[in-house]
Formats: sequence, structure tokens, C-alpha cells
Amino acid sequence: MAIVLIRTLLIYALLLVTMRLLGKRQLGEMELSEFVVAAVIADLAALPLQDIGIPMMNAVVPIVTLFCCEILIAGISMKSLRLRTLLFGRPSILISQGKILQSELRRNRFTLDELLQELRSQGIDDIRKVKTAILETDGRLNVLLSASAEPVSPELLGIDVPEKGYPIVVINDGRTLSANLRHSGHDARWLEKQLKSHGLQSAEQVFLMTVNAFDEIYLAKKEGQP
Amino acid sequence: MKRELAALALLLLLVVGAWWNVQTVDQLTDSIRRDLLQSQQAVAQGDYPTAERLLQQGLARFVKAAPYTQVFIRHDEIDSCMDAFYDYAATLCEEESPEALAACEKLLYHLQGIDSMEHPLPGSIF
Repeated sequence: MAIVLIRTLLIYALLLVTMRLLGKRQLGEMELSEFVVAAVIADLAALPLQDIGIPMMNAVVPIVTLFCCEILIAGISMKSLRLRTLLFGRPSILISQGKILQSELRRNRFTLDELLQELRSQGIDDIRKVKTAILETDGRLNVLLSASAEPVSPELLGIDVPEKGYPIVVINDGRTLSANLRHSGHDARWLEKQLKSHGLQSAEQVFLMTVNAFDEIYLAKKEGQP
Repeated sequence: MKRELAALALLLLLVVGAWWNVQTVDQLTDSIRRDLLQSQQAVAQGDYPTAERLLQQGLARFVKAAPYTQVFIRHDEIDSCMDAFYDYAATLCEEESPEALAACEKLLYHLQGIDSMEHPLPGSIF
């Protein structure tokens, strides 16, 4: 029991470090090889936890080896376009100017049903509206609509809309995020003043407070606060 | 680039570690095998006390190496080897030559298994 507990904690720590160092990409954005490596690492990690007769080294060595290979391949493929193409393939155009490129569809083993399903999921019901549909190397289908089918934007209408900037969280569940506060160009005195103007004594009474580049504030009090 | 270099260094460290592991298991099994072969000769000559002393010497080497074997070798293999040690010891106590020689062969086979398992040979890789 104690051995399983200790092994679990050690493997968990190793996985945390490995996954953290492998990068921030989410599962859905992984390349096929990255997904396979992640799945193999998960399987390897489970082995010594299920059977205490298997030395932990039998999991640690392959996990560390795969991690090193992944880091090296990622680093080299960042520099070499040829290697990147070899390992991850290249994006394929499946629809061009409203016309399905059937040979590309076959080459990528992408069925017509899958293509239509992807288009429907993006709210596109008419293939003629599609200027280009690109199957990315991570399996996602990105669709660019023809100019006439694109949604109306302020730019198209010639309307000048001022940028609002990104709202920065300065209080998160009662805690003041000092770095964010500094990043927003304000200090503790400013924050205190803002809280007082909302009838609050301290940051602990605030659930969420954000401020954007125009000093527009969003403030949500904690439930139960007057 | 630092991360890639660190990964390369770690990979090289693993290669060195693997080479060290092969050398260590070689040394361990070779030293025990020498004891057992001498023990086998003693059995053939009917000298059971010497055979048992050499067996105990080999067993002591194997037990002493436990911190290494338990980390790097499957525990099933270690248990099988220990069983083979005690089977051989039991036949020596009974002073039965054919059984003792067979038990010693079995023990040598287990040791060879542990050794070859760690060697990067086509048989152990595939």
C-alpha cells in the first residue's frame, strides 16, 4: 500500500514536470506524433503503479527518453522546414474557390461525409461560399469564406471602432494580483480609491475586478457582500 | 536552444547509464557464475561442504547487490533466481549429486537470463 502510494506520488511528480516542460499546447492542438507520445507516456506511467513487481526504472527511463526525443525533435523541426514536413506533413487544401479537390481528399483519407460534417459544424451550408478549406497538420479544418459570404465587419462598413484593449484581472476571488495591477499602469492607492468608490473596504470583498486600457472597470462583489 | 541541449545531455546520460547497467549486471552475474561453476565442480567431486560454501558466497553476492537489482531488474526475475539459489542449497544439504548438478544448471540459466535481458541484443530488443 505504502509502496503504491509513494510510487504514485513520484510518477505524478515526473508526469507534471514532463508535461510542463513539453509545452503549453492543448490536446486538441497536438500533432499526431505528439499525441501518440503523450498517450504512450500515460500508459508507461501506469505500468509500475499497477504492478509493484515492475521496477519504477522501467517507466522512468522510457518516459524521460520519450521526453528528450520530443524536445529534440520539436527543437530541430522549429529550425528545419524539411524535417517538419517529413514528421508532421503539410497542410492540404481540400476546397479551392468553392470546388472540392477530390484527389486531395483521397490522399488525406478524408471522406466527403467528414468534410461536410466539418463545414456544417462551422455553420457553412453551401460549399460555393468557401474560398479555401485547409486541412491543417493537427487535423483541424480551417475554412476561409469568399468575400461575398464573409460576415459584415466594421471595417467593411467603413466604421472606425476604437480599440478597447484587453481587460486585466486585478482582483481574483479576494486576492489582489499585484503584477497585473502594475501591468495595468496602476498602484495600490488607485485600487483602494476604486474600491471605496464602489462602497467597499478591501479587496477581500471583491470576487472579480478587471480594468482595460481605457480604465473601464468591471467589478463583481462577493456574494453576501452589501 | 538551452532546452534542446539539456534534453540531448539527458539522453546521453541515459545512454551512459544504460552502458553502466550492462557492465554492472555483467560483473555481478560473472562473479556469481564463477562461484557456481566451482561449486558444481565440487559437487562432481563429492565435496559438498566446499560446494555449499561457494553457493553461499554466490548467494551473498546476489543479496548484497539487492539495492541495484531491485531498482533495475524485474522483481519476478529476482524472486525466480532466489528460488533457484535455495533449491540448489536444498539439494546440497541432501548430498544428492545428480539433483544438485541439475539445480545448479537451473540457477546458472536464471543468471544468464538476467544477464541477457539487459544486453542490447536482437533477441532481447525484439
